[in-house]
Amino acid sequence: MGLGLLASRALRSSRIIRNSTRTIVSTPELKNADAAAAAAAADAPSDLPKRNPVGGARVHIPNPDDVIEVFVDGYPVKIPKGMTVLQACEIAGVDIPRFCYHSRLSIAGNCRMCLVEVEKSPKPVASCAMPALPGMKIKTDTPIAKKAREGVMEFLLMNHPLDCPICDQGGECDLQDQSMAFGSDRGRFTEMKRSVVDKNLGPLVKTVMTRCIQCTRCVRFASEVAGVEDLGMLGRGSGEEIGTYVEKLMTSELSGNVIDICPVGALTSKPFAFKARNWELKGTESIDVTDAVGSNIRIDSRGPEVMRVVPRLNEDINEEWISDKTRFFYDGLKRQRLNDPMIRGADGRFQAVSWRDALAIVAEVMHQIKPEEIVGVAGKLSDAESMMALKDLLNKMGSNNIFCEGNGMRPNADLRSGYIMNTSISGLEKADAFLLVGTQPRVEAAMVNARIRKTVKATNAKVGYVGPAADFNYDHEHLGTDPQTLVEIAKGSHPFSSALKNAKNPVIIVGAGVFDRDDKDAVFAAVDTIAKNNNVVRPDWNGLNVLLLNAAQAAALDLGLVPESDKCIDSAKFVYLMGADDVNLDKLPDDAFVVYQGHHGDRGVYRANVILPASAFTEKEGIYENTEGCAQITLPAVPTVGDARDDWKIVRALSEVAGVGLPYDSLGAIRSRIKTVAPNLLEVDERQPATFSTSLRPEVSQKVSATPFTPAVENFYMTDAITRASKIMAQCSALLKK
Amino acid sequence: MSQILKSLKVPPNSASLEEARTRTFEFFRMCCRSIPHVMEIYNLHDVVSPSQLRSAAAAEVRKNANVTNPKVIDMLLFKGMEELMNIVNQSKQRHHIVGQYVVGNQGLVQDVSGKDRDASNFLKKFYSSNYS
Amino acid sequence: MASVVRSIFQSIKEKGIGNFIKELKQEGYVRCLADGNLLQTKIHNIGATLVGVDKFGNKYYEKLGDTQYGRHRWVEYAQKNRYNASQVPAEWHGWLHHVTDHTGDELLLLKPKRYGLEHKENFSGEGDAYIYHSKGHTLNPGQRDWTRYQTWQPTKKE
Repeated sequence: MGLGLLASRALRSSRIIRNSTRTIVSTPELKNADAAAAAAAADAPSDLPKRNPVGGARVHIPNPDDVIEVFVDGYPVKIPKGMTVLQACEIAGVDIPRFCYHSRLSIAGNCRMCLVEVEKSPKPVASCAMPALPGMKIKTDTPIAKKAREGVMEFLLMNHPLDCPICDQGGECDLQDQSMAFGSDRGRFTEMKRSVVDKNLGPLVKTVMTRCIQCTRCVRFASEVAGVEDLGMLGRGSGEEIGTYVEKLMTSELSGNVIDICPVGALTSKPFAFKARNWELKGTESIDVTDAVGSNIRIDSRGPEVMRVVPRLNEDINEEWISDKTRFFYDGLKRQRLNDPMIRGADGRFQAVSWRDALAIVAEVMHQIKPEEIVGVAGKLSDAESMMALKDLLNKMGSNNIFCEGNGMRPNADLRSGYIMNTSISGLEKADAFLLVGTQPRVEAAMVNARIRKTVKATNAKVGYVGPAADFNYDHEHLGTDPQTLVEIAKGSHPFSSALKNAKNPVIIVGAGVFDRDDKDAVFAAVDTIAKNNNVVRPDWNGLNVLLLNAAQAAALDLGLVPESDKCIDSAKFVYLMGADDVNLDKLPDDAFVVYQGHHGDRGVYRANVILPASAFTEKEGIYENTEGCAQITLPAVPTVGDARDDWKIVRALSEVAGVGLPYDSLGAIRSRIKTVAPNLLEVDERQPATFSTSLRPEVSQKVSATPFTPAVENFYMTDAITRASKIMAQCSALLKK
Repeated sequence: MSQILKSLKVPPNSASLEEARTRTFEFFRMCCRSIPHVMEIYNLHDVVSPSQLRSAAAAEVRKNANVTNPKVIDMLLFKGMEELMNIVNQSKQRHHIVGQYVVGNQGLVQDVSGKDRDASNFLKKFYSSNYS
Repeated sequence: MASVVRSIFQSIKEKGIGNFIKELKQEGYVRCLADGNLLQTKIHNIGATLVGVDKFGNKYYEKLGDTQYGRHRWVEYAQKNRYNASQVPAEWHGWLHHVTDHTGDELLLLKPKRYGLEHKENFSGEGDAYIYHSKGHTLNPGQRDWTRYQTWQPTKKE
């Protein structure tokens, strides 16, 4: 961006071609068709070329009276009151260099890189910390501003080591880019550079503290977003350094994000260190499936390897953060992989066979078994296409015993509002009271937890929590551990019920761990009563949420993966596990034939008779629906390993070998089949809210039991086959698990 | 061997179909005569027998059995001669010979059982690879 | 010459004829019959001073006086049937080649060894096992594995 701007300025200064030129700004006009910005640009004096806001920045003006006008390099810009000079410049289409300023963190104003000249001000001002005042005349490319930037850059480079060739940030480093664009071509520094002792922040973040330029972004991130007061600033002057006050690891589930926000190479990824340079990597925009949030990620791969995972911006789901599990599980994709179809011989040993033989055996066994004894289980990481195919296959065989692990044996798939997050993740920011029922969002869905924390910090919303003792990084009230508390709140006899009653936008979040409880219907009935009594579900506000645990759950319920009987496992003779590792097979009869289709040799394979290797989510295209009901699509970043095949292809091939051919043989065809069952799954990247509210549930006679809620996720870092295979995750859980 | 082949060249034209036919047979015999040498220089004894190579050569010739235009036959003979020269002069490598004449176009894994004869296109592709 | 014969009889008397022949064999006198080079060394050795023996058993001789200058230091290799110059370890090399007057033993005492590899003779022409292959080479037993993933091992039980 900076270079493009320079180029455009160079063009502008040559008077001859002035009228026929437009600035080279990356954003096409389509993206920022905001009225105010367009108006601002339209008002530009006719002798100046048009400018577009930086990075598609939009101005949202809540109150038309609060509009002020400032001039950036002579362009008039209309902005709401309270914006800073830097933001005004961004809207005017001027990219101001910055290190410490980050739009999602508080303003520090200590790097001084964003200095601009303001008319009638004696000195250049730090634009990130200066509120824009009406009629302010801001100049960003005057000699004074340029000289100020050069000076600041010279100071920053004084103590910055010249180790770009061995630095992992090289190529994506703000300091590198900005010193090219705004720095001087020489320095006057001849003394020794200072050096700083590296800090140990744990197994994820590598520190090279000598490279630090004291922007304090990481300190602010840790205390404001992650909610851990681990990092801080020590010392003064050239002795100033970032550190944990005492030797301490950074114990946050969001700690990996400091790698992204660090503008230099001081904080880099430890597992990625010296593995690749960023210009060798191929980025694939995909979706994370390790939890139900569906964070938007970019999978950076080199050849057949996934080298790293970085977040993508999605304001509605993960903003620009991702959890550590999402960022660092990727080495699990390279370990414990199943790469050949295998059959367990008479001696209990597995033997690699061809696909032809493996499918023939499965088909033969499948036909010898009574239809009602066939059970299919979809795993945590299954995509919608393969679940659809599996359900169709089993239905064609005459069985309807298919479910998705994590949804329990008696899932309520009747109403979509009964199992998705109706408020939506970004909608949580409007809430002013939370009631968390049997859920620990910090370990179940770290991004949702970050959103709740943001809300609590911003609006002082009250948080009540019912469940086992848990770790929160914001103020909360622990109301109780068992469902009886819910009944009390429903009756209004509990002190917290008044907080709920007084709240304008109350939110109730029920954890998916409740699905496995015997008294699940009663718990949901109690929650419904609370919702009704406190006006949680209104036409303009639906605050009744279920927080799911796994990426496959929502899609499975949408597709109707509901078992015919909740005891089907006990009498099953043929079980088809599609990546299901955590389903309880203790009650399965010993003579049952188990087929495991999956990509990792995890818990599921040890009971299997036949193994069919499938591709992991980084290797296939598949639709996943996240907990708020937003369908998103993964894209293949790397090729499948060995002889593995895509999940839906295996099911489709098996159906043909078994003589009950499914009528689709391409992804497009299977999606049109999905369209007839759950059309919302095809509205990719668009949240589809539920049509009806939960008040239509049938009456429940069940009584809540006194059994306390149990934690749904034992170990944040290891929840599924991929993360359990990952060495980094194993290290994390050994070192950081609280 | 290569010296002999160098002296034998296909003359520019065949006047009649009969002449072209004779020439084709001559060419095929030349191929057959060069087979032992080819087996030797490419070290093919462990993968193929001379008779298999002979039938591979014959198959190549038969592929064009329907051609009746002497000019076209001359052209094909020229190409065949060129190929034979390349092989005998060892301008090719072992894997070229193995790939083109030993394994053939069908690939190494040949379905001889005929089990998949009534399988759908999808299933055939499924068995061969994930990407096809 | 007479003294040589006398000393031979002396040692036969001391050790017995069997042991004497065994020693002859070990010391390479038998080999001398086929290897003129060794024979010359043995003849040279008569009257020379044994300066030292290195850890491999190579014997270093010196004879000053009537020897031509530059031929007054030599080595008798420990191995009698397969010997070459690369069997001389580094510490003796300097003495043998007139780089220094310190013998190998003195050098070892003078400079305690802190790093450095054990001396290894040159095995060129001694078979494939002794040829160096880089780590990507087909013949390197620890050839680099280009598979980028690890497979699950079915034998491993939970």
